Amino acid sequence: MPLKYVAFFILIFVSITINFTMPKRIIDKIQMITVAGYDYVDENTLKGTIATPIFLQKGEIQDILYTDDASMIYDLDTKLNTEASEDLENGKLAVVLFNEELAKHGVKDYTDFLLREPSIGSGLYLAVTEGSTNELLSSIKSMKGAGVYLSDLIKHNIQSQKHPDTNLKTFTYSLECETCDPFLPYFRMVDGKPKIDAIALFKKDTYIDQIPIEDSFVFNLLNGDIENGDYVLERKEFKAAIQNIDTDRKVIVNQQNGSINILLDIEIIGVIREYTGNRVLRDKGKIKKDLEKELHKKAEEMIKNFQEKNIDPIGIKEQIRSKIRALTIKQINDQYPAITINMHITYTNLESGTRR
Amino acid sequence: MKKKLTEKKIQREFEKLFNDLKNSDDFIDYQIDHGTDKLSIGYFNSAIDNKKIEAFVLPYVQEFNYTDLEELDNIIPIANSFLTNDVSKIRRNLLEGFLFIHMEQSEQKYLLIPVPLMKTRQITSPEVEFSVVGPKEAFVESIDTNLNLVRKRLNIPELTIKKMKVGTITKTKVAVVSIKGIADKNNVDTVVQRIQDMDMDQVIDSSYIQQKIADNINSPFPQLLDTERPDRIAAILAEGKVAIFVDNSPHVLIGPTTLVEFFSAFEDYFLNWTIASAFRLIRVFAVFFSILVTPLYVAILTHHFEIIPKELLGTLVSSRSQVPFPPILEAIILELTIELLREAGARLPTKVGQTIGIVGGIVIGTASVEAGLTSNVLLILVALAALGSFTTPVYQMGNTIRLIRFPMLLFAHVYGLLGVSICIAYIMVHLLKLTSLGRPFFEPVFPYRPKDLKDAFIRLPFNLQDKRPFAVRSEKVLRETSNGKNDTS
Repeated sequence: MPLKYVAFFILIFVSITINFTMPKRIIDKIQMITVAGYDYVDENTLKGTIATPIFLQKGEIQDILYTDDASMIYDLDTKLNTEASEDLENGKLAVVLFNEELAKHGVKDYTDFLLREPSIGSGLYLAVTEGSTNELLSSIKSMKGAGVYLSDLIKHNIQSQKHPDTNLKTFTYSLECETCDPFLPYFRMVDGKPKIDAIALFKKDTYIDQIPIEDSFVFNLLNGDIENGDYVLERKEFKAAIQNIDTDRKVIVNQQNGSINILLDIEIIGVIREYTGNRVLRDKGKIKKDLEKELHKKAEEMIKNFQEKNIDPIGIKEQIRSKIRALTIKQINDQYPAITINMHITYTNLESGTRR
Repeated sequence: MKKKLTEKKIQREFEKLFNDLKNSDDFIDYQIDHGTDKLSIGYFNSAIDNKKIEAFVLPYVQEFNYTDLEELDNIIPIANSFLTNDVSKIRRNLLEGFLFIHMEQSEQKYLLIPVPLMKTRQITSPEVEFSVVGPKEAFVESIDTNLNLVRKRLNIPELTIKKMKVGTITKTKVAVVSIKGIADKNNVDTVVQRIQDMDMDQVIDSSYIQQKIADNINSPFPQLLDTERPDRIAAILAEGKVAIFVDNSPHVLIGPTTLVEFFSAFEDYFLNWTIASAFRLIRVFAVFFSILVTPLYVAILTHHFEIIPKELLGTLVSSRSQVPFPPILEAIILELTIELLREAGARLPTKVGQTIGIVGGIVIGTASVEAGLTSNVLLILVALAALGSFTTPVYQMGNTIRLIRFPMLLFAHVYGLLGVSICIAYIMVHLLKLTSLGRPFFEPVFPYRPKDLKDAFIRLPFNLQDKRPFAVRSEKVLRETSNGKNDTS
């Protein structure tokens, strides 16, 4: 055999034997962190709580919580490892929670760790909690384990458009983007169970306000296109449930005499599924008018609130920047609170169902 | 004077010949009186058919009148008999089942009559490449029967058979068969030359030739396809390939061949093209699955827990919770068990083999899971991988697939998915370099020939396959069809 083959096989043999006992991450010899919560203690200290599942027989899962104080997340990891019986690994991290207090002080330092760690995926969910994250995590009693429970909770709400799309990637994109501001789901404990109660609004990386989850439809309407949403129109005389809602948002930017004028043209297509009034067919026009009016009012209030707080979670500034190239980002940011934003909402009823 | 000298020389040679022959106890010679003359008859008892001698030789020798061997030759009703005085020819023919008759008074001339014992197996149905539909004939050990099976399917004058004898001891008959005008002459010449240049004392089976004339003899991939189906041989000859028949071997070699041909069962051509294509794709999937599933299991469980879906995590971890070994040992234990079962099953008689299969599959599998030696997830995967490797229609390729996952397992353990990728890359490079009779083995994937994909991973209908595969470099690329004018007589 030629020498090069001998050398080749010796190389392979040596490399395999040397590396054979290299430290491994065998799945039953590690503890996988599925959810982490960070609470504010003081300026330099945070309290971290992590949950790792212990897999019992027959698919049952029991969570173990570890908690400790540390100055930064990496430091926390080393501290918690001294408590854990196996090596703690970040690879299956699905949800990271910040408590409100910490979010008010800015979360950028902590998301930085999540972005740098290569084993963490960008599909991770971030969320803000009203009280302590430790309390929230220890309240979850589910066979799925806290991490899967919370991530499923957020995921299905995003899928059914109860909450606008969010994850680590969109959050950090909004952080890095100079004209936009991020938002996150906001958890509150209701009857000892976590509930997505609001959409937390951020100004850059600091939490400043929230929109109640009931208004998330309006937020979604302004934020972008909805597919298969639903909305309940409540009036004194009647109630109407509108489902299968598809919306189409167009942002029309006009510049007249140096002042920017924006028209949000929103088209809604939906189906009336439930109606407590007398006859749907007769009242269709009224429902349409009322719905348009109600949504218009709510949307206007919401945008006014955004402009007052000088935040832009729905990406209007980005639209201005792309349409009017002459303006610098600083100019846009300065002008934003004062620009006029008009709205034009039209509803088209596709059908109102047939009765047997 | 000179003539007398040569006669003396011949005389000495004959004496030597008979002394040599009598060394073996099965050489028989005796003398019969015929009038004034004496006849001597001799043959190897183990090479001839006694009944033929009793029926066609002895009655004519004893009852008819003749004065010399030429007359006797005309009387005896056996074809291919001849007169000679060439010592080496006599020696060779006696060994092949001829008998000689010599008259004392005539000169040094011997009448050689072929009475060979032709004991061959009956033509049975194919066992390795069994198909439900289609012809049920398989090759047997006799080269003449085998050639007849092909000739009867291709009764055209262009079918050429080049016969050779190889092996200094065995002197095995080898026939290189091709269709003149369709097969590439280079391919035929390459095969003939390689067989002629073979340096071997014994050729017991066609696999000897396969190993000896392969382009890369160190490769685990077989570079000549072997088949036991005469219909397949007829089909590939018509495609322009070359077949190598070896006496005493029921397997015939085909060259040049490509990798994808090893995953096409000949039954594919008997089924509708949609169904055949689906089965072929399943077979290709089965091969990839069989090679990759255990290395991927080891790599992911040892290094990359991140890519396991969270729904599957619980199942995997709890199935492994009782197992004291790392995944690599677990996998090697199970793979070795399966290989042991296979070897044991192959070496044992059929009836005992069946019990071994049941014992192995049910008892050892469940017992090892209950004992906590292996996880039940891996047990399923390994069993499926074994099943997948059985789907390859060619037995030799199945063995290759069995083998190449073991180095992959080691690499998967040490380097994770990177190691698996390295192994795949190495195998790919090896396949790209491999040739079969000098033609690329990985065709039509590399070199990429889209036209040959018509009969590769899928099989398109016959009316789209109007050209012979380019890989064969046939001298007649277009398949000549009768254009609907078939002979109706």
